[in-house]
Amino acid sequence: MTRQLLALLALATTVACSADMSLYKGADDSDGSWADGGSTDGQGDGAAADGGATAPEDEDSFFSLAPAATTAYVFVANPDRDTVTRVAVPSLAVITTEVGDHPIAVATTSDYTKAVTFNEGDDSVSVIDAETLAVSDVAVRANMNAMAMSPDGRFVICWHDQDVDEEESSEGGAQSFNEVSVVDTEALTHAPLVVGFNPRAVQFSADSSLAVVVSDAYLAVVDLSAEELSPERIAVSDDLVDPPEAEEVLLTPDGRFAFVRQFGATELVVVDLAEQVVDHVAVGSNPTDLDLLPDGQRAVAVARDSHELWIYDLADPFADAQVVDMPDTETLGSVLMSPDGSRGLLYSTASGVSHYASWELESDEITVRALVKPVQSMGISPTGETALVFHPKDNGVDVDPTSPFYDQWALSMIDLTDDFFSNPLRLPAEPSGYANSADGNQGFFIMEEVPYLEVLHYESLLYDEIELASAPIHVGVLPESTLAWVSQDHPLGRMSFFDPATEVLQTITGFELNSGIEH
Amino acid sequence: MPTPLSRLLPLLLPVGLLACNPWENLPDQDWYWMDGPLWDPSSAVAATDGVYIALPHAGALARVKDDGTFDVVDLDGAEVVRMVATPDASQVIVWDRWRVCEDPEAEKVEDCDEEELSWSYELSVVQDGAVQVVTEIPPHLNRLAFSPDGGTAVAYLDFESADDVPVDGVVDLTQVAFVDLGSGAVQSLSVGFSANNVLFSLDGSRAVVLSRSQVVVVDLATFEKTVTYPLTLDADQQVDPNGAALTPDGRYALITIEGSKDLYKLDLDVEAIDIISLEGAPATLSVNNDQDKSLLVYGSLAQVDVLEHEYFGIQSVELDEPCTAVLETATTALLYNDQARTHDVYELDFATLEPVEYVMANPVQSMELTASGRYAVAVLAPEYGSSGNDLDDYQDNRYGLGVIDLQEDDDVSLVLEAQPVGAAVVEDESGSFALLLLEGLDSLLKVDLSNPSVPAVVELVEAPTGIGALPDGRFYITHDAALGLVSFLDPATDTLTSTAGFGAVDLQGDDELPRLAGEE
Repeated sequence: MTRQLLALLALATTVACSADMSLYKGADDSDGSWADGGSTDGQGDGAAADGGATAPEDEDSFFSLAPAATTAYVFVANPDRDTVTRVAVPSLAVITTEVGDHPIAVATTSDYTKAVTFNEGDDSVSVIDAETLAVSDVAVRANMNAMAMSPDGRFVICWHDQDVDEEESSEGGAQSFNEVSVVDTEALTHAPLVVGFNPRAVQFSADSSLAVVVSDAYLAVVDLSAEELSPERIAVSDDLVDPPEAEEVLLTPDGRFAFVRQFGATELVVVDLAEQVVDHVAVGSNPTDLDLLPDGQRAVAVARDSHELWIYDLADPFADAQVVDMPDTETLGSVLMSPDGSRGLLYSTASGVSHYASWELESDEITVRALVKPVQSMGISPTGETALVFHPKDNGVDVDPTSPFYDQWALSMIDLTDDFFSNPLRLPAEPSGYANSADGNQGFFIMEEVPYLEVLHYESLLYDEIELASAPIHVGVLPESTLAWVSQDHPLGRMSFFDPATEVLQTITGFELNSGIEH
Repeated sequence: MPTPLSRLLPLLLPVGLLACNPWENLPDQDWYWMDGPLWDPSSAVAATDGVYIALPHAGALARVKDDGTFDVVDLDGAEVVRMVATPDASQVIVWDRWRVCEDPEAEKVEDCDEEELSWSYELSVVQDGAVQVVTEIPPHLNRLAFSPDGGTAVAYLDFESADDVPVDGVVDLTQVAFVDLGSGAVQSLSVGFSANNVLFSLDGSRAVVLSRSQVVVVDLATFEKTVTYPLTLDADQQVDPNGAALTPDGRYALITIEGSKDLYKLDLDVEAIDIISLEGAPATLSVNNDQDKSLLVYGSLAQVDVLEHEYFGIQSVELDEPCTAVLETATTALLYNDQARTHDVYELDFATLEPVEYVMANPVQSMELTASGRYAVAVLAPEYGSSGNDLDDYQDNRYGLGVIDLQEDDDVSLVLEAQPVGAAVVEDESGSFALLLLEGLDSLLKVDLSNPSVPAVVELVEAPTGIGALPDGRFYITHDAALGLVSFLDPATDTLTSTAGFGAVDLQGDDELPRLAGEE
């Protein structure tokens, strides 16, 4: 798993890239093989829950990094050249600027005025003016390898994620695995904080006033509005010797409470961040997913082993939760909500069963439906009218060997407005990236080593294939746009832009050379 | 002029010296052996004021005029190395050289020790039979590229066409020289190894110099490098441009790479590089300014790619056979292969992109379009190896002339008596014609392209060795004549005038050092 994805793992309220990354929830190995079907351990589901999973990539490639986009630009970090390339859209004018040593992550602010890189080689963060490309560098603590940006873009937090494959790290001297660096991208200041052993992820409140750093045994709460930043460390387990690891943390939009889902538990940990009080609420047996409902008022947990959905009122987390029974005959461990919150899709990536279920929130009616193959991951279009189900190559427990989908990767488009009619597609390779157009009419996905951009038309359930010049690496859509971009494998960098309205594909190749232009 | 060196006069030329003028003053009224030709027909360069021809024996430069006269350009004792006309043909640029001896006492070459003897080089701008400007550039820079206004030339080394690379102490193979042809001012720049192609923006404000693995943009106002574009970031990789052109708006430089499927697109305005992936290594890149599109043909792919200049999208058109060369009019392109034994010629209409196929009897050696674009004339090479006795074999084993009527979509392949030594096309009110010179024939064939099977014959005074166009639409023909003979042909009237004897300048010669040490 590439390092930049780790920042997105497991955090339901992660803002950046959430539209593109909400698809993959589940299968814990690259060919989609199953965990113990119907198991009680929850592994393989929660471990990657809500993460933006894509297949492992070559760390040496220029495009091991997902580009970051604004409405007008796409920023691509070039680690081996210590540069960032800005591609203007639609002119495709390319400008490259120098940043710190070995930038391994790039993010853009929500107002699209800045891009920020984390430079692993010299332990710094570069803040780049999106228009002028003026660069300001801020030093951070050594030994970091991951970065997350606050929703308003003002702060980035860097930490050392032990799950990241190390490519380059600071050498010599003492190393801490308890620290994070908070960088104010406006004031260009740096605050090092000690947060707890093994920071796993960073959460921000919706208003960016609060950051919560999740580590093995602590939540470190940082008031970003304070003049001097300091962490309030809250132990989330009474077991100080062998605390259960937090699999997922959900921060309420107002930043008051944090819900912590732990491996194999029967309760959720609820932390009152303001009062720094830790308490628990019941959650049934083996919660394997925890999501915020689109209204922002409620959270839902999927108790896979007790076949229940637990719904919590975030304004009063300790009030009795609403419990919705799921069919006893089904193993359903994940939930995906429609954008309007009226419907949920329930599925399991661990059971190996070719089923999913729809959950109508108004009536709490749950209907189990069939698929051509088990689920590897599931997504829903921005309009909520179409669901996408990616199926693994592995056949699970119920795929007939005579099926055209047997031993094949597959994708199903499901029309949620027309009695869940589906159009399953057999795929030549594993999908490795997915994005939706802003208007929700098209979806785009790419497959490993297959030089095509696949365009899904949600209204018709048809698809088109757009041939690319080389194998795709990442796919995305420019914010507030239908223009899709695909970064591709090329030693000097390659990116294509596809406009579904005109069906024109524009490709730029070799923009890494721009870093060598001399004046 | 296209005449190959093999067509030069015999190197050993015995001249019978008779006891009459102008030979009476020769020493001893006896035989005098010259070890080289008196004149070099292949050196002929047409300018508005005459045809300039190098006289190797005399080490001089002659201007031959159509009124039967000639004069000798005073190069101050220097001899011509090579010449080229400026784009408007108003001037001739002459690389010339002369012997110098380090010994200040030496007045003749024979007085100078071998190790003290060397060449000095200069560049002379000649007009109206006289040197206007003299300047110096590094002698290994053997090619010139001219700015659109003709006021500036860039001298660079074309190694493939260089007989040798003169080394005067140190040679910088990354160097080019910008020459102000008005003042002779020279500004040398290091632009990259083996710079071998220079493009100029339409407004003449900048030059784009291509060299190995990099491209340099030079401001022609200051002659300073403004931008250097890398073609690779790998120091171990050699990227050698072999074709380049600017888009009509001057914004983009399109560059093909030797043996590569990459087409580099350099944005000269926003200074960015893009690489367009092609399906093969292109043989030719040709930009059509009227259509604002580029054509790419491939020696190994039976297709032509049409590249539009807005999004730089490629539309491929399939052909039956690969092509390596392109001729273009405002609306169509003619594609042919001059590097293989294929016979196809294609006319591609830019509007429809539907190729019209013509099949020549023999492979195309060279091809030319008439000014109107209606006719194409091809010299066809024999296909040696055919051993049959049928008519096809007869044609295969001989040179030919292909004529294509692009308006009527008609073509004909004629069999030629001998190898062409020169060909040209001309078009005027009376029609469209191909002028053809054949080896060993003392006549010029004038082929009416509307009725090519019955050529007219224009008798020549001597066997021709080559033909070239004059700026005024007429032609000059060089002949196999030891003392020099050039004919001027008016194709409208088929009238010929000749000028002879210009090779007999300074027959005696001497080995005096033209410019003594310290006089340079």
